[in-house]
Amino acid sequence: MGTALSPHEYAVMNALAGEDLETAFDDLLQATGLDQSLVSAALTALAGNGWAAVTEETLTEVVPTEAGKQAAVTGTPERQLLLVLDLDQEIFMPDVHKVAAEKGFDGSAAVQWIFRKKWAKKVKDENGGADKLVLTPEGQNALVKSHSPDEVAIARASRGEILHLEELVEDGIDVPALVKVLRSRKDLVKLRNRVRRRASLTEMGREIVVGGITVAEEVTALTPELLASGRWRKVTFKKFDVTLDTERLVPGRAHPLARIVQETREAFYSMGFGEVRSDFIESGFWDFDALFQPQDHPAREMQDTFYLERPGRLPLPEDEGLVDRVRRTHEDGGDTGSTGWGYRWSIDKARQAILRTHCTATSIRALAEDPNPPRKVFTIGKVFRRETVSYKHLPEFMQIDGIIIDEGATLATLKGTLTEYYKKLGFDRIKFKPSFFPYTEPSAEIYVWMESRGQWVEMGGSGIFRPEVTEPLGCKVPVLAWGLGLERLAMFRFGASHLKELYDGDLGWLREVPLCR
Amino acid sequence: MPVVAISTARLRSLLGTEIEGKALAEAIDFLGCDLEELVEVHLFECPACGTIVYRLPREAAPKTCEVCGHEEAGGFIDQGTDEVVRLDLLPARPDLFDSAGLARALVGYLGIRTGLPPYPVEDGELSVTVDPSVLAVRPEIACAELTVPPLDQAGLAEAFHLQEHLHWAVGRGRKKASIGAYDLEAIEGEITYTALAPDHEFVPLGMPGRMMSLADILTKHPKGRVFKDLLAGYDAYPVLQDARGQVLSMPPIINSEETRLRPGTSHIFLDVTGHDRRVVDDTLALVLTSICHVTGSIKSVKIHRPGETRVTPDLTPFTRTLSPERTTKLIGVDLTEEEMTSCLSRMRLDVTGRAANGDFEVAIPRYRVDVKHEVDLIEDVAIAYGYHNLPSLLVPTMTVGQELPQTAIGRKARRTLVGLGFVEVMSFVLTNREEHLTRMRLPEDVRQAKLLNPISVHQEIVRTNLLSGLMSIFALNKTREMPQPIFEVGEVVRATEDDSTQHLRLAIGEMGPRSDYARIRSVTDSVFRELGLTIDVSPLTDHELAPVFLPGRAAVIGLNGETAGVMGEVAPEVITAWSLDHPVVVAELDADVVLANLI
Repeated sequence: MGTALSPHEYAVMNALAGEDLETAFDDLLQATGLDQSLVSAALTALAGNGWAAVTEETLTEVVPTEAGKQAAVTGTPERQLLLVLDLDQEIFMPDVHKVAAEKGFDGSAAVQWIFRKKWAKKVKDENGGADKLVLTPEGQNALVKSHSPDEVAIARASRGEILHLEELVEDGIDVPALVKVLRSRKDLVKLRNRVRRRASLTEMGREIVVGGITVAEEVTALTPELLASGRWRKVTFKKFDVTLDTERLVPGRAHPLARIVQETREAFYSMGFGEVRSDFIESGFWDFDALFQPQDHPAREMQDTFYLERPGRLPLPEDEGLVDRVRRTHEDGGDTGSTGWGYRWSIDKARQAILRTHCTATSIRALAEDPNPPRKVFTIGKVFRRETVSYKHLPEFMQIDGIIIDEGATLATLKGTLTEYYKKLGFDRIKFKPSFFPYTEPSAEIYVWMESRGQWVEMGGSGIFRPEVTEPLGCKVPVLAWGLGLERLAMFRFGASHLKELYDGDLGWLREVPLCR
Repeated sequence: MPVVAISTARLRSLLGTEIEGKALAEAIDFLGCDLEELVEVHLFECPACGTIVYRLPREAAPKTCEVCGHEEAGGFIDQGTDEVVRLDLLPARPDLFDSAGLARALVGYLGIRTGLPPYPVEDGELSVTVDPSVLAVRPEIACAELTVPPLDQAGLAEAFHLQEHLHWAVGRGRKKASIGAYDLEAIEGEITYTALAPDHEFVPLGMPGRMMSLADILTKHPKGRVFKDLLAGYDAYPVLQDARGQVLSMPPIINSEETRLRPGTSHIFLDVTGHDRRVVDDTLALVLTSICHVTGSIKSVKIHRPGETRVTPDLTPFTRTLSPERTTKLIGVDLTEEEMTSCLSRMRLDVTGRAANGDFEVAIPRYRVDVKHEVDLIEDVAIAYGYHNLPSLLVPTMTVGQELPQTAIGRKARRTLVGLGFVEVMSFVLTNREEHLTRMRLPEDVRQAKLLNPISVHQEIVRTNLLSGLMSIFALNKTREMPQPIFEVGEVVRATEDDSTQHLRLAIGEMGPRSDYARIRSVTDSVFRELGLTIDVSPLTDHELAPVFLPGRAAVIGLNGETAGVMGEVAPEVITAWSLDHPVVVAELDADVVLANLI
């Protein structure tokens, strides 16, 4: 079967397998016909597999300048000066520059290097004349024998071949000393460091080659066909840039308010509450009268409550006794021990159809239906106030209303039940303070601490139904009741900027608001 | 609800104690008042009458006096700042409407001065004769005479505000009770309460030097115009006048200029008129016990009525019994009888004795008009104990939680649709004919419930289906990314003249370049399949919602022979009526029918 390799790795392996020793990188380029980056990548991959070994060597390349190339032909400045001295044996120092100018070489460099190479020395004139430059034995020697190492390097580098100083070791030249010299001859040559790589197959690599190697293709997508055929084993998968962004997905999602509604339901189910419901088109009887709210109470005015033209009126409960007990309670307290409101109760007002102002209408229907303890029910539904839509007010909103009919129901258990509910929704601090409502006594308002706003926010009202409410319905035990808003909880939880945003239906917001916090 | 601002400095002086504004505000909150805020306000003085009004830091200086009606273009005189508590007035507790009433309650709550506050009434000389002519118009009257330290501007303004607030809360806009206060020095001899002809004249308050007839006052005087309905249909109007014929007032509209209260007035005559004696007496008690709470003395007035003479005011405390057992049982905290007595005392109630069955006999000051039943006293004990001191307990009885079938079906459909990538929307149930009917090509009358007193033309009827709600969401989002798969679970209403029914519906919709019948059919199918139901699909022909759809591309969803909903492509006429430019598909399912088939 052999080993499947990417096309580049295959080419490099093949080239290396043809050589017993190390192969220079440049030779690999030639042998494979690939460019540098591809060969590098393939070598890195092969070395990663342990199939190839790569050695690196740093070489110093000599690159002559224009002046260097010139010196290779005419000789370095100090050699030219040496030749002048060969003729005259000595020369007055002041004349050096004149001669240099005539012959066309750099006089200063010539003097500097002729001293450094000790080919000449300066001799003072005993008669007070100008100093003389005099040839030394080393100078004589240099004339006869050979060129100095720097001259050799400059000459060879100027011949058009790439010269690495390290090659001169073979000529018996002290390379580190030469490097030092050439570094100070920048006018003639530049030195560049070159890394030379060589590669060879390891023992393992050779075994792989012996076992046979083949070219595997590179693919973008993993397809069913690749999986079914097993060909996925032979191909290599194009690597993706995993840091790039991809398409933005919008999951299906519940409405933020529906989420609060559902959490509220679950909170009350878990505390043993059954759910009830009733229509939001309601009679004055159930919305107000059964709750001992006098018929001239400001909340019943047309200014605050939506009345209906159709249906204009709604049927009263079939139990006429119930209606009559409610009437008498309003008028003089009836049998409840109350003084009542002291007015003439109107059955027509009780029949008027309205959009319910609170879900307590549903609670009270549930109480009338079955007033026997123990019972815990709640309802979540729409309620209406005669307001125009604004940032602060809505004509319709949701309310969670509930009642507990129980011998052991007390103001303390009302506080505990509501505290528990808000805890379940993640609001740990609540304030329970006295208030006054027409149908509960004692009454309490509930505030929740909103950390994000740094303030207490009113959530709604609660209390224990007055006997004027419960007794006409045939209930003789305390009934805890509450009606709380839900919009503000949703608003604070999901960071809506105002109440209206919840009902705006802006898909931008509905798709983006993080729901799982 | 009206809001009052009460100076904390004034409260401190009434309490006779140094108490920080914050602590004061907290006590007011714990007492059950609807505390808005504790805030520093700017005071302004009316250059004409000297009334001090306040403005919040965010409000502009006043230009019109609410007491005398004076207008000052340049604004009122700046009188510096003051710290106030702002309260939303609670109609149930009219005894807490002003600083005196509030201080009276606080002084007890804080334990400074507890027990029943005394309100002695001396026998007075004044009498009022009720003429039979007024009985048909506004029959009841109660009066009192009082002497107070000479009134200053602040006292006058506070009395004015208390009067207005009592008119609102107890008087129900002066209908059930209206209050009049007069300078007794300007009144001579016997007072008569009578009804006079519309052409009778006097100088009304705020119109010095201008005689106006009763009829003119109703049509021309600012107060007359506001309250004229209260006297509509009568050919004679109530008037209080003295022996000289000097008019004191025309209840419930306006007092006379001649008898008005002025700075320095200290001898006052008070009257309350109305239809119901209890309300009239309650109101008089509220005014008197507040004005005279700190200083002042009250004298009674004899009211001679046809066939009856009575003496007002009666400020005797009334009595109710309170069972200690029921108190403990309702609050849920074990209180000893001593603790209970002390709580009652801090609420300015006295335990005066014990009934045979051991119940407390509790004396209640006359101003506590809210006390109708024993439970009102139990609440007082709870407030004095402190709601913040109550433990948080749960009812020990075991009951079982239970979801409604309607809720369950909504929850299940929501789960399926969210899984299919649909976004839930919620719209208002109130809508209007234009959007709900006209744009949807539905007939004018589909038995929709109609409001009698809509507040906006946009919200005049109750929705009968959820489809126009979905369309309005699409219209709002027409520039947002397509496709837009949305759904709503909501209730709709059908009404007749004397009844209505409410139904739970599920609406599904999608707007997008490839939204077609096949798409809505697939989605609807999966909703039913997840519920374990198999639907029959037949072409939509005869259905109330047929006009909404493109003919031939809509279907009726049948469940065991019942219609469970409709689905299809929305007619281009409807799409363009909503100014939309993409295909829209919708379905509306009837949850009631689905439920019936699930069981």
